[in-house]
Amino acid sequence: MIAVLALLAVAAPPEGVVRVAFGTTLARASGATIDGGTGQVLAANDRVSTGDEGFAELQLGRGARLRLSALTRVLVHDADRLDLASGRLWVQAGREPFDVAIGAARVRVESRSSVAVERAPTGVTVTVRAGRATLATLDGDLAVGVGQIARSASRGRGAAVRPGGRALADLVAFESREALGDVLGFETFLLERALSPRPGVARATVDTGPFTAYADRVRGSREGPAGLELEDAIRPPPFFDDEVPPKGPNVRVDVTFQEE
Amino acid sequence: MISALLVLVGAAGCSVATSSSAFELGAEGLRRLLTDDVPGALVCLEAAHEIDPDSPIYARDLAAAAHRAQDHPRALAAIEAALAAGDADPEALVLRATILAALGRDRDAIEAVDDASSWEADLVAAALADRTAVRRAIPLVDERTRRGAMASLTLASLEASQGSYQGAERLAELALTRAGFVGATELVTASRDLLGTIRGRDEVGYNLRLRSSFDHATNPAFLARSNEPSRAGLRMAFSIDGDVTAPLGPLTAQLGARVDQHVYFTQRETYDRLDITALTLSGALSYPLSQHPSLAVLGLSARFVDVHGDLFGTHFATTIEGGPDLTLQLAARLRLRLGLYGSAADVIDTSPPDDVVSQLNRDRVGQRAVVTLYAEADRIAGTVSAAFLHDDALGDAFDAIGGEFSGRLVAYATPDLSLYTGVGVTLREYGPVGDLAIIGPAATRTQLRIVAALGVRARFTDQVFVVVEDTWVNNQARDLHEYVSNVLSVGAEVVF
Repeated sequence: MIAVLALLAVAAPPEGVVRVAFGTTLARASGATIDGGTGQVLAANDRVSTGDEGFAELQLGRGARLRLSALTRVLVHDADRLDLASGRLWVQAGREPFDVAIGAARVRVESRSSVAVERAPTGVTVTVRAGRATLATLDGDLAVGVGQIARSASRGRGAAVRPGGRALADLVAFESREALGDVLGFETFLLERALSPRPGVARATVDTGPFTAYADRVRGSREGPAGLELEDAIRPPPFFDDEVPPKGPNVRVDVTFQEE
Repeated sequence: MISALLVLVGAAGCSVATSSSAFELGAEGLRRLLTDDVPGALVCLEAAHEIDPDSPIYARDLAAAAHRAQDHPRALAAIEAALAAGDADPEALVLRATILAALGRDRDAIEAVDDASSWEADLVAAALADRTAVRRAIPLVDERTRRGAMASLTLASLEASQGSYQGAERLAELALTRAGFVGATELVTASRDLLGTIRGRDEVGYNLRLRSSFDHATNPAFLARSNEPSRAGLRMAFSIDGDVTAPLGPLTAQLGARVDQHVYFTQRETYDRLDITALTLSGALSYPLSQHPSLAVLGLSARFVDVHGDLFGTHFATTIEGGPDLTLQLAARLRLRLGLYGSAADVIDTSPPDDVVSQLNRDRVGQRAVVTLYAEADRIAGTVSAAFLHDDALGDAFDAIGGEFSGRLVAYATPDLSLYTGVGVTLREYGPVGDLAIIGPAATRTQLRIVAALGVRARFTDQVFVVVEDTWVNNQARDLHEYVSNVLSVGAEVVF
């Protein structure tokens, strides 16, 4: 054991590890190519490629979790950086930022951020699931936040950010669940809850809360007595005010009317 | 070094090479978790986490393993360590929420995914009955995907828990269809189980609410501005209302009842006749035009109200109203309701004498055509209504034609706190008396009534809410018929 620990002490730390892999090839910097599998340590200049139904989860450094979709190729630089040659990559950075080089462009995934990056022949797409990222292109840097999508044309030009874009973020999550199953117990939770209905406060049908409009008031009894005016819908005020205006005998009204 | 040695000894059960690094231990732990070797996963992940407690990766996976092992306190500690170490993905937030829910901390769970910005987070919060998340989840049922199946199943369960069994059944059937389409066996099974539960249920659902408040009214008798100064009144208001919902073939039937009682503490000699007692009965039928939960629903409703004063010493009025309506779901968060209602009021002659708003003190039969638009966002719901109204009253002077507009807004600041406001404007023209062509404008009278309200509703306990509301009424009419009243109400509400 002491000898082992001594070896550990002098060995250069690896850059990362293959945590899970299906249909994945690992090409060592030395030129050897092997099937990727759990526990294979990654070093600088190793290449990881997923097949057409492949998937891999890598760890680089202490805190970067990377998930490779099918038909994705990456080159490991070091614990904080890799090249995305093609395909789709999901980066979850920890306390340190993580860089993804994509040809002339680069995506910086800031610390405490989660970002999906896709490299296609037509360009690069970046979506932020949490935190923020920066897409650096030949035309400058673009900051991307949650709820935004950034695209750059091929060769790192013509980048733009626009709102929207949960589709790519959702897609990588779908692919991960497909590959890893319900490892976090999300579906289990939903199924357990679904099969044990319990009283709650929300309705799946749209409910407008404490206010109900005239039509709703007619339909139910919960929001005051009969509404003869839409203003009742505002709160049904103290219902005396609406329902029984303190008014006199009709004959007096006629007299008053005629006096004017 | 000694601690590293201890960790490696502890990780012996992980059965990877003795030279294992945290990398390898963590990877092996995940592999075991994926192959359902939860105890083995716990050994490996505990070891990796011990070696590198600042890695969010091992901490999150350890949380997942502990959660699977039903060691929820350990899972919570681990996921919080992961978040502290920089794990920011919605996956981590969702895992924390499910752990909190397993610990019975549903409200904390909802807050845990409040800003997660993912559909998984929405479904978890929806499963915990968070209304904001429910709204976000509704569009997902339209997807022919696994996600669509999960959303349908979650919302079906929620509907069932609310007693809306027809809606629940439709959603469960939808979940079954979606799950079958994507070949998700476990979801198919769950959908069938839920359908079985719904179809074998107790047929009747109910709601019940009790409310009590102190109301301060600045002008309880609606005295005109030009009359003697208004005298404020303080009263206590009680109400109890409930409804019962049950399927009736393809229809949903609802019956409701409500009883109100006001008691004035001040100015008893003036206001004792305003100690109102009211009984409301209502009934409604709904018929969905398709199985999809968001398509049109036809409705028919009616309501009867009987109002007394002075503890049944005086019979004030009886009102019957009702008619058909059609609700169209225009978008996930936008719906339109069209309604045509008839209204008949029998105002009893023994109503309190008064010389203010006497136009209304007439038996009348009227019609209302109402269009209401409901719109919702994540934390806000709003309604805009417009209506045409017509009353044919006893005596030409009391016939009325007019329109009403109202806008309402409710903001859900937190799951336990909502703020609401609204404005309503009613314009009526009474008459004409005589020949309008001869008498001219003097043949008619115009009334403009404006009501504004502001309130807050805060949860006190699971079933008790504190409600504070202020309602302001301004009636503009001819001389001696104008008044202003403001009612400030502070009360509590209990819901069942």
